Amino acid sequence: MKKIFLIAALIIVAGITSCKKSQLADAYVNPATAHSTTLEKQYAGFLSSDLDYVMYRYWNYFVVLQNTALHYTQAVGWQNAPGQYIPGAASITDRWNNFYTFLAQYKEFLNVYSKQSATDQKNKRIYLISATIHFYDQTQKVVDLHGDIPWSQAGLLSTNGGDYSKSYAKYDDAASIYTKMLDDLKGFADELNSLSVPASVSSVMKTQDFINNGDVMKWKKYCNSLRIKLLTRVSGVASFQSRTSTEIAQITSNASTYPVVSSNDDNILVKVYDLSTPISSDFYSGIIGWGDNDVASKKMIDIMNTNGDPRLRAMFQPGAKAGNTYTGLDQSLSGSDQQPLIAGGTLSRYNFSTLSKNRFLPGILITSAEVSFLLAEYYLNAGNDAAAKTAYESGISESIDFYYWLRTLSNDGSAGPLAPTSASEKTAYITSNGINWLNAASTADKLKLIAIQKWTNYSVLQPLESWAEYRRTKLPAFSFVNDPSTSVLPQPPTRWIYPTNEQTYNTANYQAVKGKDTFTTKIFWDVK
Amino acid sequence: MQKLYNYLKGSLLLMLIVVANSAFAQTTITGTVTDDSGPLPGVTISVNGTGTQTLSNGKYSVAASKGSILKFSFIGYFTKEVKVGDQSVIDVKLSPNNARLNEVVVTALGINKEKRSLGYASTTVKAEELTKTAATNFATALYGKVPGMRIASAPGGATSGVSIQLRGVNSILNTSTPLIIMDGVPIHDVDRNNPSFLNGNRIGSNGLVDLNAEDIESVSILKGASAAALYGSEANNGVILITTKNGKGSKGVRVDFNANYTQDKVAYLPDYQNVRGAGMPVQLGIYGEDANGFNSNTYPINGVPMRATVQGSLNFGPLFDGKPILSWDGVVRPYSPQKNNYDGLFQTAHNSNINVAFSHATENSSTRFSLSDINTEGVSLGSHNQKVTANLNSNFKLSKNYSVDVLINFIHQDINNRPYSVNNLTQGFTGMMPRFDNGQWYLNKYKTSLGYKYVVGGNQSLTPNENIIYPNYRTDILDFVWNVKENKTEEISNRLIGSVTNNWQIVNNLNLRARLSADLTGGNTINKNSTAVPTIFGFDPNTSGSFGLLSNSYNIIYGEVLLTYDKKITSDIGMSLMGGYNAERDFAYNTSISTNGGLTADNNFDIAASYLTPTGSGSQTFLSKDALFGTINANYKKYLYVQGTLRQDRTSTMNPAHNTFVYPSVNSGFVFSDAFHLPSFISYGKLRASWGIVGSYPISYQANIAYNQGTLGVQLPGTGAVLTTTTRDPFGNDAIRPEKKHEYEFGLETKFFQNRVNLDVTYYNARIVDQLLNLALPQSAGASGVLTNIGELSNKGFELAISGTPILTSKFSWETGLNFASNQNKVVKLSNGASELIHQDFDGNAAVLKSVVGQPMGDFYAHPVATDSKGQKIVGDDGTYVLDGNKMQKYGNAMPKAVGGYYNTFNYKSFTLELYADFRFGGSVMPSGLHWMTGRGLTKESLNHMDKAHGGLSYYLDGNGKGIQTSAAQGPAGQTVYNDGMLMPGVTANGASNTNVISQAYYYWVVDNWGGPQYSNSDYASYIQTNSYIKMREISFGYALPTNIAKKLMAKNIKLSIFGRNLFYIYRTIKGMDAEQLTAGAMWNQQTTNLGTNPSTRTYGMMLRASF
Repeated sequence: MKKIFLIAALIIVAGITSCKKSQLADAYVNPATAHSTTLEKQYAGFLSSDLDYVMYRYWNYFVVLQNTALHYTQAVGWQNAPGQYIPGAASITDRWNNFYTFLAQYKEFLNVYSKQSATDQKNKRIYLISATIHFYDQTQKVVDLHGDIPWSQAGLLSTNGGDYSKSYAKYDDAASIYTKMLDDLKGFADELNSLSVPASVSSVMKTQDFINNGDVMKWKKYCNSLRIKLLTRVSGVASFQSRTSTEIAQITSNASTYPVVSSNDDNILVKVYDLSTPISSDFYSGIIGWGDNDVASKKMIDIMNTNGDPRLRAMFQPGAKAGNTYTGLDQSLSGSDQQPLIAGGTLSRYNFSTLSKNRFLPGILITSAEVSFLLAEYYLNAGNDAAAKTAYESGISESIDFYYWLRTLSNDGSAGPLAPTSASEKTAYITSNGINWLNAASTADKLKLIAIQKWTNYSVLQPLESWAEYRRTKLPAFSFVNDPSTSVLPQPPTRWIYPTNEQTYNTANYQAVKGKDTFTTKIFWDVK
Repeated sequence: MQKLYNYLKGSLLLMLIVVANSAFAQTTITGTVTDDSGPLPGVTISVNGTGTQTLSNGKYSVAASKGSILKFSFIGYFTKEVKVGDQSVIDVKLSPNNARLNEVVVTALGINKEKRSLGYASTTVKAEELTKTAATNFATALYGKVPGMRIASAPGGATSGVSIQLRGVNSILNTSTPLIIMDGVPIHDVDRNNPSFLNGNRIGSNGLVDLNAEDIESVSILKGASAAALYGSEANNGVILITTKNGKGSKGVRVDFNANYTQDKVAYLPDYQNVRGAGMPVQLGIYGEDANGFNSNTYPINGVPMRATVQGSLNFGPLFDGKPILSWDGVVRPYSPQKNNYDGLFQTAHNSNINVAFSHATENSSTRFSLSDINTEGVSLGSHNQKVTANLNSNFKLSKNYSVDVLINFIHQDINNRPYSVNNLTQGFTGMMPRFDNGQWYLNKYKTSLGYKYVVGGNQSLTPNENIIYPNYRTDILDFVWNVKENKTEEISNRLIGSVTNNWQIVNNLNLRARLSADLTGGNTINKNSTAVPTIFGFDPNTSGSFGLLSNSYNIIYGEVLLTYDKKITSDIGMSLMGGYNAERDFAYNTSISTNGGLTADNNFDIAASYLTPTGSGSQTFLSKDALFGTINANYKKYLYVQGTLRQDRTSTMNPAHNTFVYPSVNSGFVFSDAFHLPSFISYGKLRASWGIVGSYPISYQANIAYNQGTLGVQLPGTGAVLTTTTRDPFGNDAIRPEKKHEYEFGLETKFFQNRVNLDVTYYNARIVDQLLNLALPQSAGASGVLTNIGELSNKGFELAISGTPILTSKFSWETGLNFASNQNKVVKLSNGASELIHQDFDGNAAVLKSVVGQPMGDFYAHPVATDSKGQKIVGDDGTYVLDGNKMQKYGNAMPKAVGGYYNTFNYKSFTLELYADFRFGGSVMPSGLHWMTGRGLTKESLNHMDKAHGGLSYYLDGNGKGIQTSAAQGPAGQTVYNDGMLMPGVTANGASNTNVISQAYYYWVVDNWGGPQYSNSDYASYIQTNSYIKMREISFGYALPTNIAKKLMAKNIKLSIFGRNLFYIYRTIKGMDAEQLTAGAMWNQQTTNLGTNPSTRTYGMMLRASF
């Protein structure tokens, strides 16, 4: 009897718990992960790694942008407070880390691409080109924030098989990054015209490329529009000036070879199809936060009110106790005087239905309004006033249409019905005193007009672009109250410092840029 | 109070009955006490709580009633009990108790050994030490009781985790918690909900707090590598062996009853000022305030304009004047400090534990069954838990040479609302409560009358008149109260730990033991987040409420066979051989489903109320490991012992190509007091020496290099789902090796004067090679970290335990003891050739925690004040010191230099008073939150120099805004003179002496602010402080009822006690916080800076213990 017990016990011990070698090997691998990938999967993995910043989400707005770019551009009004211009370390670190997570996925995509057969590399080149275009688009934003960044050698840990000692990345000079991107994009712009994509490739890409669904024409437009954006940003830098005028001239004069985003139908967006998928926006709690972080600035509202901007009712809504009056918050008041105004419910807010509560808000990469305003500046500087005027006016029209279109996507009705705009309302606005191109006597005045439009169009949707353009052009002219509480930043910064993980963990390479690492260093294109 | 009454009514009734019984008759008993060699003087005879001692001729005389029990006790002899009958003379012979020297202890694999045979240090803590003050888990009862053991409890109450560390920090990456083995069976310690210790904002716990101290017979601690070598790769941090109580030795049926009640109250808060409210001195012009420092706006209340404070987080504002002012909640109150304003945000925790145990033993079986009902609360609002445990421990002797042990331990827990982190209140500027503000106001305003979240300003609301519109509300506190009260979690779990052990004496010298055990935990968690913003305003994932269901299980199956062969080779030489195999499989499953995009109807808590398709996720974690092991033991004349062990481990967490590792050990004990003839005052002496290797592996899946995979779903009608992969972060490492600790130790154990004085000293030296680390990388390298073998640490130190009984009389005895351990940690080398390793960067390079080769781990570095070429401090334009952004200096080290405890037990008749203190010396921490409170003007420290009485200088501001010191009533141009000035001795940038007098408010704000040199001039060097303390950990006062009274209550004995825990500091270096306040996790570097988990508590309680 007892032996039966014991034998049973031994069998149980041996049978249930003893380990076979294969068992040990099996349990080494997390069933949730994959030990290999495909080019297509890594491509989509790369593209989706920046969605927290491309889409309108809580963290980006609440932590990163709320107290930084949204204030530096006066896209919103806020209560002046001590220490207000110093960006939080979380803003800087989170934005940086997300970009480098995204960059690492791009480098891994390159790594996977490099291991494809020569035939596959040829057939699937569209993946490489399109991934690089999007990567450059996001790179520009980060260079514009920090200046020199680790780039060409960055993100290679996986490519190096985990050998971290080889993976500490040197900093690339900001201007040389621009040069490299401009060179490559120019090459892509030509190559895309001759590229043949096998049907078998494009049918899969249609699924995996959730930006343009494998549409080569749209990638061409993205590419050339991005070139205009990059070239315009460096247009004030002596060493880039001739390149800027030559290349933009080439693009604008060969619309069929170098198509750009020229109508709202061309806009490069990450659209929201299904709120239940990871591609969606939750702007509301991000921009409003604890409340009131979406209050309109007096500067913007006054200009819109004065000139009868049709976007006013689409972009904004009156305060709860304001009846039908649109009012913005005066940024020159002291915090104590602003507080009752904010609490009083009379200030306008960004429109809940069009923007804050619009969960179908698409991630904006490049829009036709934006391209038009950049071109208006180019034409103006090139002495082609008529073309400048056309671009300026079409930009305004596209921008108005864009905001009204955003409203049609929304499933929120809390702002009440939106009265549609009309051609006559648009015309009245474009010819109003403060907006009319013809009323601007000088180039400087015209630049001011363009800047107002660009800034209004960027609003809270593209605050990093808006801040970069403000720093480049110093337009529209903003005044900020001096912050007496800090000797570090009594006025807004001109760049973001590096996150401390660079200083701390990339020490040797950081030494090369340490001297420039202050809030008041100017990015190389900031020359005005 | 009602609760208290309920908990205690049973015990109170008992006490009444006791008092009612008091009459009994006594006679005088006389006699002589002897041993083999004649009369014994000094023997204690006790009866009914009184007693006497024998005289030099061994004679005694004592009054006792018939039927009472005389107890004869003397150190070194077996205690003898004699029941008083009709006789008046009782002679007694005591026999020497060599067993005391032959004490049996539990060693690795649950094998009992004579303590004298061990070649390494081991400490055993007995049941009564664990339960004396009703600590809610066995670990918190161990403070200061084990040399070399350091305990740190996360604050907050019974559900918070406890961290244990033996002989310093052995691993940079992994927790320091030792392996926990209960009755020979591995127990998983990581909380199933909480792999990271901190789970979101609610503070989690670890698995060891599940175990009920009432059911524990003893806890043995194996500290060194040799002691723990049979646990191989799991024993890097040492091993804690828990033996549960069993029924052996109880004659017939025995019933033990224990009931206790304790109360935890918030204690050790910062030293707040009660002088002034929100704002800043007017001359700084920071808030646009009026001339008196109040808000420049007034607010009409019932037609009367009322003043208010500014809206701001700084508290250097106007002095309290007791005159009416408008508070942010719309109530007009006197402008006076709200002294205990945090009270409303926390609760007093009521805890009770009722335990009944039945034991029964016969010739062939013994059984103990116990039931406990434990109710605990945290000080966090709404936190309450119920735990029911049932414990069965049976032994059946099925035949002369075959027996079976069956152990079943069942734990049911219902945990509601684990303590909510107060991080935002202690470390967030906007969550620090001004002195004119009150937690109670927040409780009244955090939700609207309709139950939605508070609304500020002109935001959309169904109750616009309730919107919070007056200054100076703190949104972080409002959010905190909302989250604590309205975001609820309930965790229900069942844990079954069971084992069956078969013992078969095959032939006389050959024994086979086979054991199968399981530790199975399964549970469900329900999360309910209330609807914050009415859904008629639209659905939002963050504000429309949510509901989540989580279920998880964590299972360990463990099996072991052990064959032991004993052989006496000659009459002097004994030997035994043991060989065995064990294997363990762990498997964990987690599934969760939650609403997505908000709830469709306000506060409709169900998955069906999800606005979008509910989201679900799941994970599976597997772990397999096994080991072959053998030992050889030999002894010569039972005074020289040698043991050798060898274990070969395999584990699934390592690359299958190299996952097998070997761990040897050898140790020897030499009882020199038996080998040589020593002076008679030396009762016992032993030397120990040992060497061994133990190790540690990465956790499951940490090493494997793989891609994360996912889907974005269908993004365009007519296409497929978008499939994605991304690389892992932190990155794995297929070539990783286990950490290995090589340790040798020497020890000396001695007892003097018939065991009245005991001394145990140990020296150890450990080298831990191939340290595992998720090496932090700059994100620009491609990941935030990579798993790697980073280098080598060493720990060496000594442990000392002295105990003794200075006074021993029949009525009074005093026992005392000191445990002391000093550990010296060193980073020996780093494998990547680097000279230092950075663990953490604080607040934008304001300070870093790093390890430098050749130094102990965990140096705190911060920026010093910049100096000129002559070494003079440089003062900036604003009158405060400029920090040197290019330089960092060492200001402290996180490793404590010494830890230990000191205890005293006094017995007087039936009364017992016990005092336990524990201490820690050395070891720096950086309680930034405390400094930020000073920087916000909240602490008494921030009052320094606020006026002449506080040492402030008088000054006026010149045209450039510089402060010029003056003794005049006004400046030369009629400028106002302020009296809150401070002058920093030093030079300005151009080398001139600094003369710029600045407001003390500005000074504290700048110096105790957030951020590194690029952000601010905060002086983090001053934040780094040594955290030494001596704390009165436990005091208990007990009374044992006379046995005859107990008997009338049908009890064998009854004991009542009152006690307190965490009572007060005898000494501490950091005021304003509890020394353990910074414990935010089980990792060493989670215990250095975080002030933000929960408030610390002080506990009082009472206990009734009875046996029947």
